[in-house]
Amino acid sequence: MSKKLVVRALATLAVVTTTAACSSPSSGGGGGKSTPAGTSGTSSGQSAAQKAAAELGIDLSKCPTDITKPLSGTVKIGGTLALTGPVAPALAPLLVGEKAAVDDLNATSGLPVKFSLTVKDDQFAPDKTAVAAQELMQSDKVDFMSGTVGTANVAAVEPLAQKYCVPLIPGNAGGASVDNPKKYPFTTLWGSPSYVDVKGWFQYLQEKFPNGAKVALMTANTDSGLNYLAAANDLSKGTKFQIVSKTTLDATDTNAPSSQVTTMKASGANVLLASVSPGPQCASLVNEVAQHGWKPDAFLITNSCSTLALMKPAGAAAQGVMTNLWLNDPSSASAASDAGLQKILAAIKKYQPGQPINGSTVSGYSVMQVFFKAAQQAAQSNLGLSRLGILYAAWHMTFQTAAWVPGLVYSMDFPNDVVNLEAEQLSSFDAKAGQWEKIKIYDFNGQTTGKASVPS
Amino acid sequence: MSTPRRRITVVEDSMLHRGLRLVRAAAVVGLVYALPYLVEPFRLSQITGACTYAIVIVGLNLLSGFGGQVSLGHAAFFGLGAYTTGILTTKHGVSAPVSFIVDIVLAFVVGALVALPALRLKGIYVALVTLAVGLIFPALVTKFASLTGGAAGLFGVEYGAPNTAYFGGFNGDTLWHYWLVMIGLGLSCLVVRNLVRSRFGRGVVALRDNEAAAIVMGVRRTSVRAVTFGTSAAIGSLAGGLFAVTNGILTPTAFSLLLTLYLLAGMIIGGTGTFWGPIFGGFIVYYVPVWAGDLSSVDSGSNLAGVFLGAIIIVITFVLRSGVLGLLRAATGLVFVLQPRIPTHTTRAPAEHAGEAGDVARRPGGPTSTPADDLDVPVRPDASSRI
Repeated sequence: MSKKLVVRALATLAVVTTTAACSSPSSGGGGGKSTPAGTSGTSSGQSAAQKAAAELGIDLSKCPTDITKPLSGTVKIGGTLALTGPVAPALAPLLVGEKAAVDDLNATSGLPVKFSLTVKDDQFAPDKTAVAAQELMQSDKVDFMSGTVGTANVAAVEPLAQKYCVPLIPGNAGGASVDNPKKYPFTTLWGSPSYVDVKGWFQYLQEKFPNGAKVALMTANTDSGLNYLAAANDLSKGTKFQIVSKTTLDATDTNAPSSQVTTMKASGANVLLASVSPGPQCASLVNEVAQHGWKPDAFLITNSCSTLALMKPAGAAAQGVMTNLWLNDPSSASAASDAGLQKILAAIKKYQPGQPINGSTVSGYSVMQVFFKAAQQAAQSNLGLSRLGILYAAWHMTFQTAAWVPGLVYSMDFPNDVVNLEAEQLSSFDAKAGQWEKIKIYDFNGQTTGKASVPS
Repeated sequence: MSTPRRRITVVEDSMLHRGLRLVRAAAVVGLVYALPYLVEPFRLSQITGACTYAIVIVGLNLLSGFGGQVSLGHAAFFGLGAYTTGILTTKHGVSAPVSFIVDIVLAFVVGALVALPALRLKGIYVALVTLAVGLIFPALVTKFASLTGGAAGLFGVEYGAPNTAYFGGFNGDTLWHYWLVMIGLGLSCLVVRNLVRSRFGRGVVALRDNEAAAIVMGVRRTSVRAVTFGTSAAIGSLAGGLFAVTNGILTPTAFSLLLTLYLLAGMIIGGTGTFWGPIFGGFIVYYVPVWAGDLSSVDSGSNLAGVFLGAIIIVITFVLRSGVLGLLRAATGLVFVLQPRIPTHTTRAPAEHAGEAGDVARRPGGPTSTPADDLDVPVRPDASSRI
């Protein structure tokens, strides 16, 4: 025993001594060498770059590689998506759209460089997102990240994007907590923020019920549901709308929300606001409300449930249910006559033949469209086609995509407007036609910064 | 016709045997120390993640592998440690090392309490009791959102690297996390190894193999089972604390029942009831989904990652029934053959005897020997079977 102890002690001592004697391996591995920014390019380009970086709050000297250097050859974009695990069936179609978009826009956008897309599996788990993003940045040496889905997942990438100076353009999340340009200027977002959805609800309610109403609020026990709850609490404050009942629903719950509907009905509420998880719960809630014989004066449901495939199963019970549309659903009646959407669908069919096409595929295409639009704008700016140039453009860009409902615009102007989509189309469900009928478009452009994003 | 393969015979406890063991130990220490210089930092992060799972499996292996009780609640103990560290460090300003100790103590108590109803149960019924723990935990995290961040997650859990040159580089944090987890893994392995090779450990194994006989022999079932469960949970909880500081973000889905099933699969594939098996298990649990994901990334259209994952597990289960460690042992067996030390009759004082417990465990029959090994029964030289 004692002999063994001595040997062990010696071994440990040897390790400790060597550790002390050797240099740190952390300074050498990965991340590239530290180059002071702005060593390349013209002096005017240099000053423009420094000005742009200062405006975004980026310290160029902390970047491991020069982000002002003009891009050339093939530029790598990295992405993380759930390709395995329980969420994979819902999220994997995004990849089909993203890949088709990269091929299509490489061919048509007229940029002097080509972009390639590498996507790694994150199983929708933030810890795996972080490791996958780290691998993409260090091993694959991607110049950009794009398309990471989910608020917690984007939160996992944000600090890495900052550390490696690899812009995430755009992250696919609706939570206000990750729209934080002051702390993380390397991350922009794409899509409808939860706050804007709820703001649309309350705008409608104020027009329809000028004397106020009693509101029942149902939210999912998820990241997104919590965002809706926070937004509803904020927007009802100081109004005549009193939230008389708050119920929650687990994302994994497969039973109809019978007890929640009973509670909400009994509360005497005449308005129902619901943010359930996208999936069978959408139709299930609508059916349950009808079966309880509850006819609220207004029933607004989250835009996550706006996909026709999710609402149609509710049948006649869905008549008159309202939502704030923002994604252009390829299965809607108007899709056939929408030239812009048809162009996207044709590109997906051309570059990803045989793949099923749904709303998620189109939204995947749109995520990449935002990236390419920023690249085009950067190429024409005095910053040129560099990482900083594209990031700067993404923060200062107005852009209309056919993947969104006509009339909705991606619009950001850092630092006054840092919320990409602040408009939506209030729509009512026509059960007979199985389609959403447009009521009107609410546009809050420039009004939700600090609410749908982290206040600066 | 076949000629017998020439193999090197190693006598147990001979100088050669000890030397080989020392070489093995030195190789492991050297590998752990060299890895940061050999692999890219993201790979080091992956290894850190794999070793975090390995720690949980080391704990699970104590309970299930050596103790024979299947737990379906270990993801919950893992999560308990993660959230305890997360909440203590982010909301109460407690330092990370203190929070690790709280993790260990808390999980030991909870684990021992869970063991109480499971005491009179065996096999699948114990699994059912622990299943409840595994199912309740994510729900509790979601319910107490003000404390845990709920479904949105708990952010910003940190344990900054010490301000030294070694950890001062660009990837200093990655390196620091690696060493934290390596130290955690080393400690967990030592605890389990020493526990199993002690009188207590032989009690654990005896209860697994023949409960009635073990009790007759004087094994205190209640305390042994409770302590085993508690220790196993505490190790899982320590892994959770390390997971929290290395990842920084905690969401309840990371600690679902699915993870427990993966951990059990990892334990079995690595090698149940062995000391090195759980470490291989951790790597398998971590890397198989990564590879499966990479394979499906090749062709985005056919998302076959789930199929790959299943197929890999089935192939491993069929081809390596005794686990990865079994394969390694078989491979070593092609070169070396271990000749057991011939036990001799000894007459020793009881006090001295107690100190030699470790040696007793290495007799033929090894760590799976019953407490009867404690008796100084004369053993015939040819007796290589258990008493």
